[in-house]
Amino acid sequence: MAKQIRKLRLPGEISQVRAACDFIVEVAQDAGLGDDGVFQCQLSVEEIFTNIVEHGYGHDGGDKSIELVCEISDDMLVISLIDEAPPFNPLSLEEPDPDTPLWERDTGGWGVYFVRQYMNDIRYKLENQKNHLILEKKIG
Amino acid sequence: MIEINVSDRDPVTLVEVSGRVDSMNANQFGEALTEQIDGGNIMIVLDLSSVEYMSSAGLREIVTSLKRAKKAQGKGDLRLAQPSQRVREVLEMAGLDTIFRIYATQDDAINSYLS
Repeated sequence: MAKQIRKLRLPGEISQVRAACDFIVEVAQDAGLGDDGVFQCQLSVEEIFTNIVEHGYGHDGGDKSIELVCEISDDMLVISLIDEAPPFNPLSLEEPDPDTPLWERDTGGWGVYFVRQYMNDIRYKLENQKNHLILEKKIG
Repeated sequence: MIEINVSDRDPVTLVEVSGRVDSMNANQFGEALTEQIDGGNIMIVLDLSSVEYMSSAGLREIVTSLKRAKKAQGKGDLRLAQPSQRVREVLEMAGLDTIFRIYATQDDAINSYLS
């Protein structure tokens, strides 16, 4: 199949999380992913989208956007989340440890951790002063 | 969409949740648990059998609530019942299956407080 490109640009607000999820579910299903793969893509996008809203935009992203760009080929779904927050690579942060005891746990860091478990590859680039987080999920 | 139903199984408080718990409604979920714990209901069973989806935002709320319950006078707990396969998976990924007491049925979770 020729590569398909599907895009969606949303305001950078938490109220748009479901719209992002709905879009990714549809794209992942159309790409031929099974239920597990669709769920994993949805959760991954929610985690990254939420991180951008909360940490990148500080819950003040109403006049800013988050763009989702999906490239579908025969064997790969590539999902890029592009934002206008100050340059920041979330992959540079230390990963949380799942063996941390209850009282030593703080609340953060699990979003990217889940994405790393669910996606085949995740990488970051800064391009044209925009943060790009690129997720890859194998199909089949 | 999320629905939260609280009922009394004296001395246990049963909180049944249905729908999805994500970053849009995790606060509402957490507030419902906080209301119970701050009201003195610190022996909680959280029935997740009807939760089809939970992201890290939801996990954050249940961890916070567990700490709150354990720190309350009387040293309570928050125990989980019947998590769906998807929810169980995210709990395990975050290592929370060794932190929470998780039961296969609602009755098992409720009875765990009585033995």
